Amino acid sequence: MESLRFGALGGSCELYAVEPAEPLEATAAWIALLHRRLTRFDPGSELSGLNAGAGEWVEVSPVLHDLLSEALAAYELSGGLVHVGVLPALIAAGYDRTWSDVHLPLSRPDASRALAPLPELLELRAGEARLAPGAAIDLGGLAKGWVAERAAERLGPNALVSCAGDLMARGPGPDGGGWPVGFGDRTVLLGDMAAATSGTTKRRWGDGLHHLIDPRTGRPSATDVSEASVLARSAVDAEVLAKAALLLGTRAAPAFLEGRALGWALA
Amino acid sequence: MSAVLLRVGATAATLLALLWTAGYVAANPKPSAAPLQPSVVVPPMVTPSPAPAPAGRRRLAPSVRETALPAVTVTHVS
Repeated sequence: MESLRFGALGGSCELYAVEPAEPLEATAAWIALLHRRLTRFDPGSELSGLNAGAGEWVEVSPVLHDLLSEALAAYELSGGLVHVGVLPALIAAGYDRTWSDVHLPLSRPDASRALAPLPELLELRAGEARLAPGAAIDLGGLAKGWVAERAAERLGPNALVSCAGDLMARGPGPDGGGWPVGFGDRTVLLGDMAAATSGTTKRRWGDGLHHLIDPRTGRPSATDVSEASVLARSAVDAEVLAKAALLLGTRAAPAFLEGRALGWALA
Repeated sequence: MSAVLLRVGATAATLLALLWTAGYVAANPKPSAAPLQPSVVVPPMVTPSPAPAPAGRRRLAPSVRETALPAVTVTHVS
């Protein structure tokens, strides 16, 4: 088994593969390229160009177009809870710079309100996207899951990818029974399966201030779940379900996850 | 005369001190395995791990198998 660890997508990424279809360094370089294209913190990124062009149709690459389609699907799958249009609320809450640049306590959130439905803020047509005036998006965890899926495909039929904690496993793993990965307080075997964790235990900058915005209020979520880990068939689904479960809380999350997830752990 | 006696006395005192310290060191070797005094409590190595989920907050589909194998990696908040 070959492995490689490097920093991208706001965290540490890991690649594992048995007889990889391409050098792991090539997959890492591809992930780094996508990171530069999709980050909201670089004014020159493709995503920043889309945000800056709000109100106009903007030409987008197939990668960004696909991700925006996934974002609209995620909004539907989560009943509106996973909403990439949270960026203005996120900035209002104080998360306006890369986490590595944060040295001082960030500002208190402004008075916030519920976000407009995503389909009212984001439109797609062939090769182009349009944001409503004043709207801006942050692909966040959705991009991590999307990249993990495609990176695993690039590495071949027996690979495991972690994009800052979002996992996508393909094939039987190094010993034939699946890829052993930590999930909640257990270790499970993943084969053609994904895992993701959403939580408020990191990226906090004050009491009740963190990076997970509840689109129903426009403010950082305030539920009784601090971490939600979910297993699903795809990394994007796992990411979407984990975030929705966290926003729903322990009373509503199990019913929501039943039939959608292959497993979950709420803490 | 007194200067000579002083020199001889100082030399003798130095030699006696040297011999005594060498003898003391030879007679009291430091055991390398001796416990530290006072005893030092070494905290167990702490590795980040997810908070355990209480019963009712965790579910795995029958198709998902648990294992005792060491995890290659872990899903986590970033």
